[in-house]
Amino acid sequence: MSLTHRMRSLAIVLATATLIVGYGLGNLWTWAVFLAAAAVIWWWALCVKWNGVPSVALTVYVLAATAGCWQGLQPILMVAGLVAALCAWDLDHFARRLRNVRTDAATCTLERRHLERLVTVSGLGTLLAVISLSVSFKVNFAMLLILILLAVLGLSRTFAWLRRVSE
Amino acid sequence: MSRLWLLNCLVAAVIFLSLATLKGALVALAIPLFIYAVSCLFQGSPVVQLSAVRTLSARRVMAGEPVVVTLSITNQGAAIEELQIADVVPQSLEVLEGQTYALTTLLPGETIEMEYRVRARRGLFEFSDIRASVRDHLGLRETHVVLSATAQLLVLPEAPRLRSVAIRPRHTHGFAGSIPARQAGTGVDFLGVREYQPGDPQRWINWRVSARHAQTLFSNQFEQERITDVGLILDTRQHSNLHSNDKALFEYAVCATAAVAEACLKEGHRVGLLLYGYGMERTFPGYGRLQRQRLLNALARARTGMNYALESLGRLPTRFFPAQSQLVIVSPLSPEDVSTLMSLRAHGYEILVICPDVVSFELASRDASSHPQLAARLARIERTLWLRSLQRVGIRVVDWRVDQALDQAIHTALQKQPIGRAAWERAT
Repeated sequence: MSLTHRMRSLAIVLATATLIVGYGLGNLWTWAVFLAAAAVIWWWALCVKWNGVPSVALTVYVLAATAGCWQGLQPILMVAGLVAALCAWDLDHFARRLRNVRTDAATCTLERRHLERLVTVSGLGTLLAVISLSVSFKVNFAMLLILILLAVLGLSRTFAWLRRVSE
Repeated sequence: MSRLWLLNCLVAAVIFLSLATLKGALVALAIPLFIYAVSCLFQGSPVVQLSAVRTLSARRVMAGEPVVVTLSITNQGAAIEELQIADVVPQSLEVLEGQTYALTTLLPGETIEMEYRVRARRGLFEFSDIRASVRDHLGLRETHVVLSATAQLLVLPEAPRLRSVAIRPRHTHGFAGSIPARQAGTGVDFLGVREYQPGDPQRWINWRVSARHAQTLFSNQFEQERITDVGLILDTRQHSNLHSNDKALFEYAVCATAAVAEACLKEGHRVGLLLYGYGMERTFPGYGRLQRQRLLNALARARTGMNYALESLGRLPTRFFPAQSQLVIVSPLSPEDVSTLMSLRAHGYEILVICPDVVSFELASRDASSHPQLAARLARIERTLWLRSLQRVGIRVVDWRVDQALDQAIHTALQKQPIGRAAWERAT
């Protein structure tokens, strides 16, 4: 088993465990069981090489983290779970690209660089998320409206640009 | 759905949920996703400048011989974080060793080499393009490139070794060969006796005949042996091909044609080839090694196909072959072809038909229990009947079960259907 596969398995376990602990602390065991089932399905999909399942699993984990935050569960645990799910999803895609490749020095370098980039990006994301959790300010309705408009505009422009670049 | 699009949707959904529920913590969830999505912006837009060279260890090989394909891909632009290369291997080439797919990084000016070994049965194989994908390390931005690296591989058909094929056409050429020419001259076989002429070697004098005449001497005459024209006709009509499991009857026919061509060229005959059916491809008659290569090249490219104009052998262009020459037709034949072959025979051509046995080929692919016994028997009887009708007009037929060695099949069949003096002796 390569480093990517080990890290992917670890990320799935970490994501599931973090979210289950978060839901468990809030006494929402039904949701915790549902998450454990989702993890089992994700694992099974990896074994049978179903390519579509990891994207569905990431969506489920993001929705679970969002629902957890909304329910007032520990936001740090939700962020950690989400970041781990994101890493697992990324590593699954990378492992699929590596599937037909003979392992040699070049592939090992590629694997190492990918993991470095992923650790950097997810670390930065987690750090900024934790900082944002510690900052709180109140806004009035007008400010909120402006923020919504800015968010809509900014996100739509950013995504349009990203889509253009990716094509 | 692309990965970037999924991330965009998730980020938008989380942010709008946070705004709708006025929960600030939800924004924190969107941040890691957003950072991941925009991480590809930190790398500049890659300008992909790749060049590819493909080399083959051999461009013409015999069937089953392995060929090493080497691909060299050089990066002539900026560094590429992740390069995925997938070579498009022509169908029916079997990859024996090595990989046709690679994932690597490529620095400016760096070259990556891929090597794999392939093997094929027969045919012309064209390597066309190499598909390359350039990505950032997280695989969010992807650029597809098609690199042109064309090459052709010609796999010649296998030609099983044959002893000489016993042919005896009426028309022969002036050069010495192996076909008795029905003319007096230097040879081995006795032809007749004539009056002695000055210059005849003494050992040619027939003393027994001379003793019966008081004043005259008689010399023996020998039959000249010459080379001849052999016209090979390979049936490439769609219905002459049958597939069973992974084997095709046409492949056996191609091998048989190659074997007969090789045997005839070895004996010094002038051999031409006509591929009839899908179209009409002709290789002009010729001698020697060069002609052997030409014939094998043509046979390597041979394929079956549908052509409504050439559905029957009726349009066989007889002008391609010298009058009274030898024709060797390799075809499973159909009952409609019988009259055409008879007509060719009536025009004076010596005809040898090598007829792969369709019925046994078809039955070999089925279980013994699922044989339609009666149908198979009827098909066999029908086939035997029209093959016999060919033999009756002097066409020699080799009924070839393809699981049997061709050499053995030809010799067994031709011993039963003698030609020339042997036929006359047998008849009387």
